[in-house]
Amino acid sequence: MDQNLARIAQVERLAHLDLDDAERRLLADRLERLLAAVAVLESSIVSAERTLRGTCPRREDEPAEPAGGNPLAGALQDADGSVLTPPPGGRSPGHD
Amino acid sequence: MTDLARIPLNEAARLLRTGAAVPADLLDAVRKRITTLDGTLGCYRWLAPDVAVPDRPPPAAAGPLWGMPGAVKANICRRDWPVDCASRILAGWHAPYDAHAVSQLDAAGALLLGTSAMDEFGMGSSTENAYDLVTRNPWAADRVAGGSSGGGAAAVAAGLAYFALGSDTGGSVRQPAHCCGVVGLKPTYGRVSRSGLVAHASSLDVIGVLARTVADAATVFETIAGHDPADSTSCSDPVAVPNVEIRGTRIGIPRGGWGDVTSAEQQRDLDGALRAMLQAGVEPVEVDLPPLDLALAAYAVIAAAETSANLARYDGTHFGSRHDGPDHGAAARAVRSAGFGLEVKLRVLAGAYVLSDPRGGDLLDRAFAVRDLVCRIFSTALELSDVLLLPTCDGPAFRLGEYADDPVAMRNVDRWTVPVSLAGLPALTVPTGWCVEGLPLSCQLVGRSLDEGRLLAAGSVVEAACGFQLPAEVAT
Amino acid sequence: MNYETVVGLEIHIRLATATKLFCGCANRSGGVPNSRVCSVCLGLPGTLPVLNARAVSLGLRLAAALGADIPEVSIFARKQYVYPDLPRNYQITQWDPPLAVGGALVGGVGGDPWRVPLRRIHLEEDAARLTHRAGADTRIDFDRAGAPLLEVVTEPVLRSGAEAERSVRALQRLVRWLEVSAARPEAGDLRCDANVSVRVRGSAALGSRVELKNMNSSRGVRLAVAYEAMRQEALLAAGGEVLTETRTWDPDRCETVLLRAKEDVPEYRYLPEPDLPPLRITAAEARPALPEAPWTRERRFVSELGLTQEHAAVLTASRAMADLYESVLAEGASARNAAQLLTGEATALARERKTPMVSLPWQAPRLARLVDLIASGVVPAARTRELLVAILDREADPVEEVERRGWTVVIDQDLLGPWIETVLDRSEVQVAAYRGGKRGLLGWFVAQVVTLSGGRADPGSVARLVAARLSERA
Repeated sequence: MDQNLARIAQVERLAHLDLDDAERRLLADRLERLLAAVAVLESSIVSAERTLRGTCPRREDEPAEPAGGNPLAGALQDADGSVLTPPPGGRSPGHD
Repeated sequence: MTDLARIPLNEAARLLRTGAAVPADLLDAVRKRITTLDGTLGCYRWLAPDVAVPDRPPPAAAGPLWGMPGAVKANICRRDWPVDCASRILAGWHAPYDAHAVSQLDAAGALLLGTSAMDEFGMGSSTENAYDLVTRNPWAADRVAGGSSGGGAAAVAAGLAYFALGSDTGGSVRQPAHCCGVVGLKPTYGRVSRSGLVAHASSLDVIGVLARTVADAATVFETIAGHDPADSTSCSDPVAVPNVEIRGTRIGIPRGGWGDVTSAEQQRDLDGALRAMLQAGVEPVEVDLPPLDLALAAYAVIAAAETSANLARYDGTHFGSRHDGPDHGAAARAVRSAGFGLEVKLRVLAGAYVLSDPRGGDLLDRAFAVRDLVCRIFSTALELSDVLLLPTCDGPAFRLGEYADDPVAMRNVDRWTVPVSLAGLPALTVPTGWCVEGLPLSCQLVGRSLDEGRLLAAGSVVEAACGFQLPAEVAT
Repeated sequence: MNYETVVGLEIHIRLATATKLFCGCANRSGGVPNSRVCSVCLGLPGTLPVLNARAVSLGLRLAAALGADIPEVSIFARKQYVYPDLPRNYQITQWDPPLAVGGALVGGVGGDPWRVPLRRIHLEEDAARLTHRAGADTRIDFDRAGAPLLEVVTEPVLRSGAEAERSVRALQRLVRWLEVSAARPEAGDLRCDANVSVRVRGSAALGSRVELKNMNSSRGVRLAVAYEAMRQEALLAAGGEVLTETRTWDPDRCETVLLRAKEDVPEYRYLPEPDLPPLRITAAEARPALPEAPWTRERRFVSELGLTQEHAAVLTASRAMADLYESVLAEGASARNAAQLLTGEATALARERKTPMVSLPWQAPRLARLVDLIASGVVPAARTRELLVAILDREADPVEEVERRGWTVVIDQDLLGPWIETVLDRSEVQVAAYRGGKRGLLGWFVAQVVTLSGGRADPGSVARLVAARLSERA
C-alpha cells in the first residue's frame, strides 16, 4: 500500500495534477483495474514483438504561410511578443 | 406532414435541387426545433451566431451537402469557434484554424450550425461528463444519449441537424448512434484526416458520421474522407463508395451466436438483422472474434498511455485557461486540477502510471503485440467473411447517473466496439428496432479495412429490411 | 592513486533546412519573438506533426559520412516532461531504433590518427528559447520550438578535455563541410553536453557520471571537462564520493556548478509517437553521394602534396577552402607555394576585409600565376598583398600588373650592374670598411642598391654581385 501511495504521489507529480483524498481513493481503485489489465497482458502468450506498420510521409522543405488566424491569440504576451509564464521552479529536465 | 427538419439529408438535398425548398427553409426548420427542444435535450454546446445562408439555388456542380445544416462535435476545430471539448480547461479558447474534415464540408457548401455536446475530451459513454451540460436521450428523458458524441447523435435523431460529425475512439460514434436510433459510421482509421480533431488517443481516434440513414452517412463520409498531407497517418487510398452487390456477400457472425449479449431483445434484433441479410442473398459464416479480455486490456493500456501524453499540453502557458502560481509547475498543476473533470484526471493519471511503470516500454510493447494479434484475428474473420455482424451494445441506453458510483463499469458498455477500434476497421451502427422500454436497438456491421463501400451496402440491406422509424415526438 | 578520465559527448546540431522539423515555419534564429510560429509547432489542440524530408536527407548525409549503420526503419517517440520551453510538454525525438547507430569521428594526420566511435545519431525537435529574469516572469520565444536537430552521441571513450575539444571541432568541420549545418556555437547551431566520470586507472568499472551542460564552444568543452575531472579526482582523493548529478559550466568563474541532483532525474515516459508512422530509409538513401571527407583530404595534402600539417589543417578547414586550393593547383601552381600564399597573405587580406576567405572573388588561374611569379622570384614578396588586391578589386592579371607597375624583380646582371656601381662609387668609406673585414656591411650595400632601384632589385642577386665585385676590386 505504501508503495502504491508513493507511486500515486509520483504520477500526480508527473502529470501535474493534485488530487484530494477522495479522488485519490478513486484513482487507487482505477489503478487496480488497470493493473488487472496489465496482468492479463503479461499472462498472454503473445511475445512482446511489435509489427511496425506504415511509412512516415515526408514533406518538401519549403516555407509555408500558416493558414488560419493568430495561433497565440489569448496568450499572455509581453510588448516584444514573448509569451510570459511564471519562472520554472526547477531546471529543465531535458533541455537547457 | 413530416417536419422538414426530420427528413433524411438526401431527401432534403433533392428538394433543394428541384427548387421545392431553399436552404433558408431547412435552416429555419432546424432552428425552430433547436429553440424548442435544445434546452431539454442539450445537443449543442454553442451555436454559431452567423451562419451564412445561400439565397440562390444550388450551383449545377453542387453536391448533396450544399445548404445542408449540420453539427460539429466540440472537439473538432473550426476557425474562431469555441472548440472547448466540454472542458473548463479550454473555456474561452477559440480554434485558429479549420479541421480538414470541416474545410471539406465548407467546400461542399454545408451550413455548420455549432458545436455538439460531448463527454469531456471524449472520455465517457454517456455525454454526462461535460463540466456544464448533460445531454438527454430524445426518446426517454431519463436516459443517456450515449457518448462521447451524444450531442451529435441526439441532434440528428431529434431533427436539430441533418448530420453531425463525431469522433470515435472506442465506440464514441457507434454507441450514441445506438442509444438515439440513428446511423453511426466509424470509418477505417486514417480514412478521414485527424488534423483538427483534438487528440484523445491518437492511434485510435477517428472522425465519424451521425446521420438518419445509411445513404446520408455515405454522403457525408464521401465528402470528408480522403488523404490530407497534414495528417501523417491519413491514408492515400482513393475514396469511392461504389454500389456493391450484396448478393453473395458472406456475413460473419460470432461463433456461438449472440449468447453473450445481455439483453434478450437485443439478441432478437440481431437475429432479425441476420435474417434480413440472408433474405438478401447473403451467406452466413461462423467466425472467431478476438478474446475480449485481451482486447480490452490492450485498449486500456494503449488508450491510457496516449491520452496521458496528449493531454499534457494543457497547462495554460500559451493557450486555454490560465492560472497564476509561484512557479510554472505550480501554475500548471493549479489550472489542470481545476480545469479537468474527474474522469479526465483519472485517465491521465492512469496513463502516467502505465508509462512510468518500471516495466515501462516492455508493457507498452506487449499491448501493441496484443493489438497485432487482435488485428490478425479480425483479418482472418474477414477473409472467411466479407462483413461481420455484431451487436453495438448489450442493451439499450442506460439511465442517467447509472454509473455515477462506478464509472469504470461504464466501460463495459463499449466491449463490442472497442476491439474494432483496436483493429482500426470500419464499422457501421444501424438501428434495427425498439425495445419494450421505448428505446432503440441496433446492430454493428464491421468491414475490411478501407472497404466502406461494402459495409454501407450491407447497412442499406439491414436498414431496408428493418424499416426502423423514429417517433414523431421527442420525449419530454 | 592514478586516475583516468572517461568522457562521452552528446552534441546537438541544428540542421540547415529552410523550415522546422515538423511544420513549414522558417528555420532561422534572431528576429521578433514568436514571429515564426504556427498552430503545429505551438502544439495547439488538434495539430499533427509532418516530417521534413530535407532534415532526413541531411541526417543521412552526416550518418553516412561518419560511417554509421543506417537501419531500414527508425521510429519517433514522445519524451515527456513539463517545462515552459516544450509547447506540448513532450519533445518528439527518436527512440529505438534511431536514424543511425555506430560510426566514428576520425582525425589526426601523419603518424597520429585518432578515432572516436559513436553510439547513435538521431533526429529530434528543438525546444523554445527561455529568458529568465530575477523577480519577473520567464519569457518564452517559440521561434526555435520545432527547429530540426541532429543529436550525435559518442561512446564514452574520450580521456581528456583536449580530446573532447578536438572531437567537437572535427564534428563541426564535418557538418559544415557536408552543408548539414552552419554549426556556429555562438548562434546555438552546435550545442554540446558532456558526461564525465573518473576511475582508477586500470579499473574496468565506471565511476559515477556527471552530466555537464552549457559549454558553448569547443574551448569551453575542454575547460569544463578538465575542471570537472579535477574536481572529481580531488573529491575521491579526499575520501569523498562523486554524486551522479547534472552540473553547468560557469565560464566566468571557470568552474562547474550543481544544476540538478540525482533525485530529481526526470521520468521521461517514452511513448512511440502515434502521429508519425515508422521512418523507412531505402538502400539508395542510406548511401548518399558524399564529397571526399575532410580528414581524407587533409591526409592527402600531407602525404601526397607534402604540405605541413598546419597548412593542411588550414586548407581543409572548409570544403570551399580546400576546393579553392585545389583549383589553384589545377592551374599548375606548385602545392607548397600555393599553400603558403593561401594560408598566408590571402587569409590575412580576407581577415582585414572581414570577409570569409572563400567568399572573395579569387580567380584560380590568376592566383596560380601569382604563385608562380612569387616562386620564381620575379616579384618581390613584399608586393604580394598589392597584387592580391589587384586581382580582387580590378580582376587584374598578376603578370600584366607586375609589368604595368614595373615591379619585376631585376636579377639581370646587366641591369643590376649600373646601380651597384653607383652605390659603390659613392660609398668609399663603407667599401674600405668591408674590405677591411666588416662583412656585415654587405647587407647595407644591398639595401642601398634595392632603394636606388626603386625596390626592384632582387636582394639575393645583388648580394652575390656586390660580394663578387668587392672581392675583385682590389
